Amino acid sequence: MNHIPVLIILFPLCGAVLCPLISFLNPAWGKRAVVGTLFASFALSVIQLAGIVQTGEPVHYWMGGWAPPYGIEFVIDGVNGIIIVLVAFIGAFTSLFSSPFEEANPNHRFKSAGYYSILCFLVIGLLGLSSTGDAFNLYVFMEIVALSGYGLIAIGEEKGPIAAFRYLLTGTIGACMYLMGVGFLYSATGTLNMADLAIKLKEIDNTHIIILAMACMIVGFGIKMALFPLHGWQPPAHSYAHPAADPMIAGVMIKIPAYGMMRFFFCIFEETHPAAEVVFNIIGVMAVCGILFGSLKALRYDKYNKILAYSSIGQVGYIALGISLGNFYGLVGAVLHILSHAFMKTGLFYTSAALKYKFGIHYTDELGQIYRKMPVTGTAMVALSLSMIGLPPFAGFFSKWYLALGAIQNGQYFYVAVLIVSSLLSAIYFFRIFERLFMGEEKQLEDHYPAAEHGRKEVPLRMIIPVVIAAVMVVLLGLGNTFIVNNVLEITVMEVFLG
Amino acid sequence: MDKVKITGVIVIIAGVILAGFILGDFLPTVGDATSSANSYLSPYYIEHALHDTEAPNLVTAVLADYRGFDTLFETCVMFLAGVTALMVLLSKRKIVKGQRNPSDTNGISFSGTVLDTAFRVLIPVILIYAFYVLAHGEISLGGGFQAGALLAIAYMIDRLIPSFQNRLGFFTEETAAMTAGVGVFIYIFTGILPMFNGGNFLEYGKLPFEFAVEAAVMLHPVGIFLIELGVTVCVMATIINILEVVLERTKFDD
Repeated sequence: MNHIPVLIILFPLCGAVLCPLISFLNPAWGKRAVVGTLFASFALSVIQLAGIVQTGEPVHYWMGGWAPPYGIEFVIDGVNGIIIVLVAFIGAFTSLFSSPFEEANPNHRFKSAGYYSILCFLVIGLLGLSSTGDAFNLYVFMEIVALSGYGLIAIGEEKGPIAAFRYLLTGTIGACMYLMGVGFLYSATGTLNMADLAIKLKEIDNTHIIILAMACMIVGFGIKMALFPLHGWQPPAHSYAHPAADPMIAGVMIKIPAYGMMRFFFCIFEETHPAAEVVFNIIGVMAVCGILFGSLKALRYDKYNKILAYSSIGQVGYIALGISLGNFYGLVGAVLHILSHAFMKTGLFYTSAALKYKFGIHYTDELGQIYRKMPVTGTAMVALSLSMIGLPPFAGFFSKWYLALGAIQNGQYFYVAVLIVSSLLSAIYFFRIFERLFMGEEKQLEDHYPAAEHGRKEVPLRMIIPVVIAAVMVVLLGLGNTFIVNNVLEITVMEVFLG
Repeated sequence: MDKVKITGVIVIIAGVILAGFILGDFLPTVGDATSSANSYLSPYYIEHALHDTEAPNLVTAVLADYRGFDTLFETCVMFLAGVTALMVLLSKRKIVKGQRNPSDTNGISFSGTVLDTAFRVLIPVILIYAFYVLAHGEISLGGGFQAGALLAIAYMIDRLIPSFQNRLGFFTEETAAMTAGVGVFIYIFTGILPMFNGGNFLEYGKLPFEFAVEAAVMLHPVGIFLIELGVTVCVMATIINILEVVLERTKFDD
C-alpha cells in the first residue's frame, strides 16, 4: 500500500505507452486500456487522500529508494492530495467523454490510439506536477504537460496548428524561465529538493539571487497558468483544441501551475522575506488586471469557446488574487477556486463539445431553443454558468466568498470591489448566452447524432455522464464547502503554506 | 514603427541584463569548489556514487540511478514527440505507394557509386558501434540515447539510399510508434520489478535477480543496462517514426 503515490502515475503511464501496441492488436482495447488505467488511478488517489486525512501526516515516496535530497521524492500532503484527486477525476471522465469522438476505426488504427496516448500523458504530467517534491522533476513534468498540450491543440479544429505553434513558442519561454529560476536557486543552495530548498534558503544572505529566482518563477508559472500579461497563447489554444480534450486543457491544465506557484511562494520562499511583499503586490496587480481584462474581453465574442477562454483568464486571476493576499482565507479561497473552477470550466467545455458533437454549434447565435433538443446539456450549462457568475449555492460563490474574506482581513477593500465588478461582468456575458439559449429563434441545424438512429434524444451516454457529474460536483462542492474547509483545508493550509 | 528600433531596444535590454549578471556577481564562478552549488550534493555523489551504484561514471550514476525517475520522463518526452508528430501529420495526404521512392519518379536520387560503396561498409560499423555504446553505457559517458540515435542513423541510411532497397525496412510509421512505446515500457517494467521484491520504484538493488550476482549492489549495473536498453529502443523508434512520417508525405521534387 505504501506504493500508492507512484502507482497513481504508473497505471496510466503503462496504459499510455502500451496503447498504440494494444490498438494494433485490437482496435477497441487500446482505448479501454487508457480509460481503465485512468479510473484505477482515480480510485487510488481517493484511497490516498482518505489515508492522509485520517493520519494527518504527509506521505513521502522515495524514487529508487534514494533518500532526499540525493534522490527524487514525491510528497503528498492534504492540499495536493485533493488536487491529485481532482486531476485524476477529471482525467478519467474526460477519457470516457472522448470515446464518441475517437471511435475505433480499423482502417485508421493509430488515430484513436495516438489521441488517447497523448491525452493520458497530459493527465500523467498534471498528476506528477502536483505530487512531486523536487524542483527539477517538476520541470520534467511541466514539459510532459506542455508537449501533450501542443499535440492536443494541434490535432484540434482547423486553426489548431497555428494556436499550437503560438503556445509552443510562449510555453517554451515559460518553461525556460522556470528552469532558469531553478538554476538560480541551485546555484545559491546546491539542492533541488523543495523541502531542502526551503531550509537552505533561510540561511543564505544573497538576496539578489532569490529576487531573480522569484521573478523567473512568476514569469514561468504565469505563462503556464495564463496570468494577465502573459496570457496571449490561451484564447486561441482553448478555442481550437481538440473538442474532447478541451475540458482537460481548459479546466485543469492552467490550474496546476497555479498550485505550483503557491507551493513555491509559500513553502520554499519565505513569505516574510522583504522581497516577498513586492512580489505579492505584483501578482496582485496582475491578478486584478487579468480579472477585469478577461471579463471585459469575454463580452466581445460570440463564439462560445472564446467566451469561456477569456473568462478563464479572469478566473485564473482569482486564484492569483488568493495567492497575493497570502493569508489563511486567501489561500483557502485560492485552493477552493482551483477545485470549483476546474469543475465549472471542465463542465462548460463538456457542454461545448457536446453541442459540437451533436449539431456542430460553435457560435452562441446558433443556440436558440437548444435546451428543447438537448435537455440535459442545457440544464448543465445553466447550472455551471450560474456557478461561474457566483450565485449560491453553487461552488463558485463560496470560493469568491473566501477570497473576499481574505481581502477584508488584509484591509484591501479594492480587491473586494474588483471581485464584485467582475462577478457583475460575468453575469452580463453569461446572461447573453442564456438570452440566446432561451429566447433566440430555433435554428435548423444538421443533426450528426440523430435520435431516430440511436434511440436517444441526447448525445451518447458516455458524454452525458461526465456532463452531469460536473454539474453535480459543482453543487456538491458548493453545499459541502464548509465540510471540505473545516476537515481538510483548514488544517492543511495552515500547516503546509503558513506553518 | 520600424523593426530597427525594436531590435535596438531588445539588444539594449539584453545588454543591460548581461551586464547586470557580470557585474552583479550573482552566480558562482565555474569550478569554484567552495560555492554552495558545489559543496552540498556534489561531494556526496563523488564520494558515494561508485560504492552505491557500481557505476564507474558519475554522470551515469546520477542520470540513470539517483535521478532515474527524471530520465524515465525524458524518454517519455521522446515517445510523446513521435506520437504527436504522427498525429499532427496524419491528416495530411499520404503520397501514393510506388511513387514514394524518389528515384522511381523523377530521376533525382541519392544513389551513386560512391554512396553505395561507402555506406555499404559504414552501416555494419555504425551498428557495431551502437551496440558497443549501449553495452558500455554505465561505464563510459553515453548510453541509451546515443545508441538509439546511432541505430536510427543506420536505419535511415538504409532507407534513404534507393539502391539499398530498404532491406532493413520492417518499420512503418505506426509500428515505429508502437516500438517506441514498448521501449518506454521496458524502462517502466525495470522499475516495477523491484516493487514485487520489497523495494521502491526503480530501486535496482532490489531487482529479483539476486541469484545471479554476489552482492545486491551488483544489481545496479543490471538495472542501468535494462533501462538503457529501453531508452535505446524508444529513441531509435522515435527517430525512425518521425522520419517515416515526413518521408511518406514529402515529395523530393520541390
